[in-house]
Amino acid sequence: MKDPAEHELRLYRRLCLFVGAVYLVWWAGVEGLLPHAYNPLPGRLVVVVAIWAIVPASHASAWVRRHIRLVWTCSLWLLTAHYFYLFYENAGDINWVVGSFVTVTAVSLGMMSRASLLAFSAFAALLAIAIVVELPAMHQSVFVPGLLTVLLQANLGLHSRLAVLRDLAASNAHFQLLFDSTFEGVMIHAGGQIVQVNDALARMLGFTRDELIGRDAISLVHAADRAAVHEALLAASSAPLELRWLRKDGSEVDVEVRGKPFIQGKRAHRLVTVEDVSERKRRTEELRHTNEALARSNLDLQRFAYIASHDLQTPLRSIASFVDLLRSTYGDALDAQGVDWLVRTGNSVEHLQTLIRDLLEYARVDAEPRAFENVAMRDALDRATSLLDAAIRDAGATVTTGELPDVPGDRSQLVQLLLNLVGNAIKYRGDDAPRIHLTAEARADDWLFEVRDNGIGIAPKHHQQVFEIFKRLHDQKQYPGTGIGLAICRRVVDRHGGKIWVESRPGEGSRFFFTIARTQR
Amino acid sequence: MNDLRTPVILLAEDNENDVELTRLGFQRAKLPVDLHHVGNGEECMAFLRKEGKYAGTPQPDVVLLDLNMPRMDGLEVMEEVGKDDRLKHLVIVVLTSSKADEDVLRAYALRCSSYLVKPINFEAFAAMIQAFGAYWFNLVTLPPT
Repeated sequence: MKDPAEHELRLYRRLCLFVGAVYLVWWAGVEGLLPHAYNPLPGRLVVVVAIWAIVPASHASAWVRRHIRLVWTCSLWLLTAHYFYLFYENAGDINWVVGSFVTVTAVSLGMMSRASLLAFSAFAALLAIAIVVELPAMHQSVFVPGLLTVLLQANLGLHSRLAVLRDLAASNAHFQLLFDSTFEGVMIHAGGQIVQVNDALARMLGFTRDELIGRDAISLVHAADRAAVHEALLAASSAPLELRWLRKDGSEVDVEVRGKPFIQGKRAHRLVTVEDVSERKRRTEELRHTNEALARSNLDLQRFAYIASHDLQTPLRSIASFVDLLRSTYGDALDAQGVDWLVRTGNSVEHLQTLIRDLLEYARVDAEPRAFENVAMRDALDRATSLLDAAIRDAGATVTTGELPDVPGDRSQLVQLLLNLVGNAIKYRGDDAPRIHLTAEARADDWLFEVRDNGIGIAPKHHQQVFEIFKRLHDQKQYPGTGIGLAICRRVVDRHGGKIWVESRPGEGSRFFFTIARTQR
Repeated sequence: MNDLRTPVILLAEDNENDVELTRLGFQRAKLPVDLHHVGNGEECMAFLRKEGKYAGTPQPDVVLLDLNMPRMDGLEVMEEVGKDDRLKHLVIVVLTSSKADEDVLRAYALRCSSYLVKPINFEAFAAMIQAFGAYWFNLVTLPPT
């Protein structure tokens, strides 16, 4: 059998004191109202003292505590037996009949389980029958049917009372389950004193629940953060509060706290939820560090690429110039082989220069960010085609356009973008004279541009590759180049919040598409 | 040429190759010039102010100024010259490898007389020197020295 809880023990002790006292007062009542009744004090005192004795016994004896329900039931049997003894001695006086109804009703109320009430009912019925049999004056009375009615009522009452209690216990259990199974710490305090906490909060703080209940809630908050709590309480703010709380071992835990006031039993209570945010805080901090490091290394890289390509140009210019000088000044002294080598050297240096220039251009897209302005794509294209003037004339190319919008962007980068796309269309031309057509289409969030040509086209398997830096599909002899042009395009489009892609088949020309966001972040 | 005197040019340039190429450029262009050379901005200021070992050097007609130099760069030299009443009339032509918009703008903001970007090979460089000489020494009236 499970030990009764402390609050149950307290209830039985109070009942014992109360019932004992009522039974003693009853003696005085009988003395006053029925002066000639048989009503001896010593016997009554024995019963009262026996009932009262349960209180100290329950403190002293673990056995009594464990069997408190049985002891309580026995004390009520004793009382009932004593009453029926007095009833018998008073020869079935009508006042005592009524008293017996009252007694049985009252005692029935003290029976807490169906079994104990049934047992008591049988006991009381037997006593009643015994009295009726023993006292001829009672033979014709309705005493026994009356008593049986009282007992039946008591049994039915207990039945419905137990049903209510069962429902209550079930709903309590549900609540407790809910309260304990949430991962958030929950606590209820009345005027700062903790009245209830859930397991999650106890675990979070390293206390047991019993250690927390009754404690001053503010004592759990880090001394430095207590002022903030008082402030929030004064302001009646329900905004979440980030605080440091203290664990049992004194260590700190970062929590986010929300409170909500409510009134219960005329006292102001507060429901407080406590979320452990130390992990979240740590991750945010980590993310911030990583971001900073990334931004730093990105900047370093951009500077490095920019400076490196810049500084690489200087010695190259010297080499190119001295090779030039060598050829023009001493070319006559060299044989054909020697001149060929010089030409090869000059060509290689030139290629290296183009490579570095393109790399510089690539690095610049992000290294020198300029504020966006309104750029007329028509003007940007005009600028690009004027830079390509010689190539356009050599190839006999025609560049046509549809309606072109103004877009928010970096003018020189957009010129660079069109320069590379149109330049490619000319460079990778087929047998016919290149025809290049630029169109724009307004969409919900961006502009979609298309640069269409009638060039050699690109096999679908290379459609991704061509935008990667240094990726080339042809050798230097066929089509000289660095493999940076389209990578620059992609970077420029990226910076303008867009995407770039190509649709093409070998021999069928290419359609390069790119988007530019209508509004820039 | 406006007079028969050989033009005096001060070349402020830290790269020895570029110094040599400039010298050869003038030679190729058949422009007789009195070319002096300093390797950084501080030396350049000392030359212009005839301080120390530069006492007795002639006042240059044109300063060819590189921007990227150790210790004191070209832009700082121009700032310094602009503040000096005895020097601020000097013709300063920037000769640099930087095409960056920012450098061009800053150089003109400091009132350089023109801005030249070093071409990537010698033929182009020689052609540029030729044009430079034709403009500054045949066409332009330079401040008296």
